[in-house]
Amino acid sequence: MLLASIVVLAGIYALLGSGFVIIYKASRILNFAHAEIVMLAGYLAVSLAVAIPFSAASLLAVLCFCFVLGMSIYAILIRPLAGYSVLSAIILTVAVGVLLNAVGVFVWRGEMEVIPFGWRTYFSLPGNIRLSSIEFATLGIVTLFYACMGLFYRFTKIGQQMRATAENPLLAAQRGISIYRISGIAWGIGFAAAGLAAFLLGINYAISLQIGNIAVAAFVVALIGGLDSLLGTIPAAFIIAATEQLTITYANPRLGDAIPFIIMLMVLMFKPWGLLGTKEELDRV
Amino acid sequence: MKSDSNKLLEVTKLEVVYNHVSTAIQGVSFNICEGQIFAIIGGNGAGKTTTLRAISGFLNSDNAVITDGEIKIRDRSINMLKPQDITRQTGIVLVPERNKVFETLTVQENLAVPTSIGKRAKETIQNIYTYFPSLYERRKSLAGLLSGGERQMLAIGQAMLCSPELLLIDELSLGLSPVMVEALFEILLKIKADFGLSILLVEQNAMEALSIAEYAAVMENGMIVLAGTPEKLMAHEDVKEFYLGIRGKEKKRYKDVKQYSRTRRWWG
Repeated sequence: MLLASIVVLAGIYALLGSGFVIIYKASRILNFAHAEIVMLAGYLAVSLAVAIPFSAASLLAVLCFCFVLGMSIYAILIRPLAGYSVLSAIILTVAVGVLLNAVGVFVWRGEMEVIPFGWRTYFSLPGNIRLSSIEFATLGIVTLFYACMGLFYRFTKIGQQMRATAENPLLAAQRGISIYRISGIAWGIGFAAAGLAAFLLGINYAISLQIGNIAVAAFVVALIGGLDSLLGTIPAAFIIAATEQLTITYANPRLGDAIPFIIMLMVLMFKPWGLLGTKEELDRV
Repeated sequence: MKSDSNKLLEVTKLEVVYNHVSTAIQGVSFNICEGQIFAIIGGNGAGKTTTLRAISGFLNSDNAVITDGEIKIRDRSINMLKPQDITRQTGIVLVPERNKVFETLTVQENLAVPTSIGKRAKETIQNIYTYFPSLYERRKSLAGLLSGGERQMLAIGQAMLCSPELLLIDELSLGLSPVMVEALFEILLKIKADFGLSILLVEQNAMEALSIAEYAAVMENGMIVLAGTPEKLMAHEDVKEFYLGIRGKEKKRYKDVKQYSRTRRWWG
């Protein structure tokens, strides 16, 4: 049971962390509205699941909504700030978060809701591990997401351009790549990742106004993995999920929330750029 | 210089100021004709790179602005264009001095990212490999693992895929062995002939640059102080002394060179 819950939590953490990473990679901006996107997407998934009983359809609708929301926020709010201090864009994301939080409270009144998931059964795996269908689906979706992202970055032209832009935006622009378009798509994908994570949180646990708090732990995951490394989120998510669950089970449950930050301090002391992050060059003076 | 009818790039009285205070170049004027190799030579801090970055639209990212003058390509002013639009709309493509390739992408991916190659991408890339066979051998390795010469080849190859009309090359010879520089210049001449390009070279290596250029200018302290055909410049006493290292009768040490004051010959 413990192993299963660690793996599921790690999967969700990784997914949440990947949203930070994808956006940071493309635009060097930390999106502090991530937690609120998760909350909003979660509530939307709840409402849609009531309207459209078939989970896959409502999930797809949520993902599309998040993608469009991400692209729009980038195009309307973030892009005009290009060329100014990155800090103002980051503060802007905080403001967007507050705004979205208000929308969540206004529309859904902050009640705790569970996303209904029709398929319920148990799988027995060797080693006396039992996985519920929900946990099984969660792991499947997370694996599929990472596989798709890997193929996207590696083989599609937009993915390659995204990597190129992340490494050297100036050269990318000179090679005719529209870096705004690329960043906009990255924001869309980052938001969609948040939406996917919200759906998984909704079927595994429940959606509430405080669900965003889990995104704080995911921020830590992104930092530990390296802010510009999608692959880094996987080991980082496992480390955080395992230590957190083990602490809650065998030590004091109240320590659970503090554990990610303690781990973060320890990792960043020795690897300031995260486990798999690239050292950023200092600007030429 | 050739007649005005085939003028490709026209830079008039260009002035660039960094951080609102420091003037990097002033009154820089020159023309590049179609199919011409134009070289700008000069020491560190002479304003060569600034001139290139002004033409390629990169100044904004350096916190610099064009405060005076105009850059025109085919009679169209490009002062206000963004870097990606300059590449797409005008055919001016820059090969920068540093960070010239995407190091985390493979050679093949580096050649695939430019947007202008459309449906016939494979053939076009294959065509580039014919000029740089050693790149083809290393097409699957990361660009960050290439040698300096191979990186330069990749950067030129990548620039070629942006369908350039005017190639701007910043310090082609920097950090490369003389043999490699010669080989690169040879390939460049071949590319120029095959594609009908114009090339603007910015070089500290005056000897190499003057050997392939058809017209050249010498920059000092942000101004063009001399210009003419390579033969004319190579015969010039100051150029010989300061850029080609050919000394006159009396031997001078570096200290003396610095104190030696020249009369500026203004051009343009």
